[in-house]
Amino acid sequence: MAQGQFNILDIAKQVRLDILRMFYVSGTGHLSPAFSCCDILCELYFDGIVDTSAIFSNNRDRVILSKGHAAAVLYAVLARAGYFERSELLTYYQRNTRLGGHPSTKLPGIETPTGALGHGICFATGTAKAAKLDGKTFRTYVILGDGESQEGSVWEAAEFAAKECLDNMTVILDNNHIQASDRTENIMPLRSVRSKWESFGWYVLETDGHNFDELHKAFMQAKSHTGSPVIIIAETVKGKGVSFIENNPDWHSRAPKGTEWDIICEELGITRKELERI
Amino acid sequence: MRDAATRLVYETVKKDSRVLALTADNRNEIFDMIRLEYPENYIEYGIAEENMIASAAGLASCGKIPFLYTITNFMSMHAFEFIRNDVCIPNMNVKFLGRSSGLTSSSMGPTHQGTEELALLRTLPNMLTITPASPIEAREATRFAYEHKGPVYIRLEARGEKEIFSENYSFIPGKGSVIRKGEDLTVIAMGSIICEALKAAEILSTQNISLQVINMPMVRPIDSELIMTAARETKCIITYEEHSVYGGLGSAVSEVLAMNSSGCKFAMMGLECCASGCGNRQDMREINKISCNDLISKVREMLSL
Repeated sequence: MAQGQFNILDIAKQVRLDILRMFYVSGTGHLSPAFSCCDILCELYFDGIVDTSAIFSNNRDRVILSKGHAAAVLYAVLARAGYFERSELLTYYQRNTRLGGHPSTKLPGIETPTGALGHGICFATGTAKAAKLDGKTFRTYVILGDGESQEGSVWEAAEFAAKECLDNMTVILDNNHIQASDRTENIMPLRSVRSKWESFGWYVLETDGHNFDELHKAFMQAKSHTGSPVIIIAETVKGKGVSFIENNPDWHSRAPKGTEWDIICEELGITRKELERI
Repeated sequence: MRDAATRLVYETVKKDSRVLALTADNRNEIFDMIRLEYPENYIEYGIAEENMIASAAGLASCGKIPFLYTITNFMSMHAFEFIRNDVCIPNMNVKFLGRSSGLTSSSMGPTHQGTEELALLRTLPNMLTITPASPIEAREATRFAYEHKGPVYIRLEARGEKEIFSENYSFIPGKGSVIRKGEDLTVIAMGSIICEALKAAEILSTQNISLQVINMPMVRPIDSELIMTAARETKCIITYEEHSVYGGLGSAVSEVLAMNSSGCKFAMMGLECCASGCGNRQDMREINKISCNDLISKVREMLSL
């Protein structure tokens, strides 16, 4: 954590509040997957990892949300980082919005449309390879889901990135152990994630996905590592930030309703009125 | 056809460093020349078409012009969603060279016969699909693909197809062309099977039947004007293709005729579903009832002779 502890914690809290505002308006979307990787994205964008001053430069860092259903957090982070007005967040899921349920390239900061799983990491091998070919210094970051790792294409990309020595590519595995309909272990256990990636030729780091000190250290290590791509296995809690949503498999694709909002307001110390405006 | 197309890629790599040759364990001799002479412009993805396609989109997003070369089914069907989401929806500048289209693979069986991919590809936004009839058309289609900004899919057959165009042929997107003028019936063909139609026209001319033969390399956009002119002038049309008639040339032409209330007599010759049987290409055409003789019978039937 390069910035002060208070600062980044406060930013992450504000981003979660913005996400809640979006869901308060939309009444739909994937809240729990967004909260799961919220701290990872905040660390990326607000702690000096991604260069947010180079938004439209060819040498901009590429951030690819391979688990596209967590779009809400990417929107909230991009808006706060100045890619577009924060007020636009309230158009989430609305008619003619640029902020649909899954990311579209209509929005600044979105490199490729994700949502179908196992695509983003493949796309990322292309941007990382292009940087190598052109001698460019930008880095490519991919946020990958643990459930998403069941897609075969993820391992096609893993093989290719290792073969091409794409050390300018960092994958962050949002390892929350829950997928759409159940816990990952009940659907398709990933078994040893670390040894899988190691055997594919990747340099593996492990971290708490909600601890900014650990995340920062991991990203800095990833930046300085050479010779192979890096995966940061971030242990996360799906729905992190709201007690009754945390680690609850029922919440993959639902939004709070009715009195649930009162509990959320109480936990986060805000009023319903504050949820209505941004 | 595939040598003509890949040679043009080789020539283009020489003068434009943005051009990349990508393959999924399917290089031919010419791509191998790129690998040896321009290793920076050659990327081997292994047998992993999904990653190759999305990765190509990533390369294109950084200004590269990737040409992907492998067996058409593995690219268009195995990895269809990657073409749709990663390339077509965001309009990425990616070029697909799908080899073994049509019945090229003959005895290798239906896994290797590219006989349905147009039905998928022509539904995609921004995608232009080209089925060349000859090596020169394949070469010129590849040149067009390089110059065009956006996704292009070229359905290549194999080697040694007969040439029907002159050296100075230039490919015009969305346009068909009359290869042989005729008055009684028009055959609209796609791919090198057009040579069977030309042979049929020659045979039928000895029976006082005047067959017109049109080459239609693109089904989207399709040359509606030329189709409607043929409908007006000959009042009878047969589409002829080594592809499923459902979603292929047959469907595309029938859509034009129906939307324009043509009243033209119309038949589709092509595959009803995946090709059946084994044999060489001629055998396959005969088994699947799309040979020159089958076309001649269909023409006579349509003209009530």
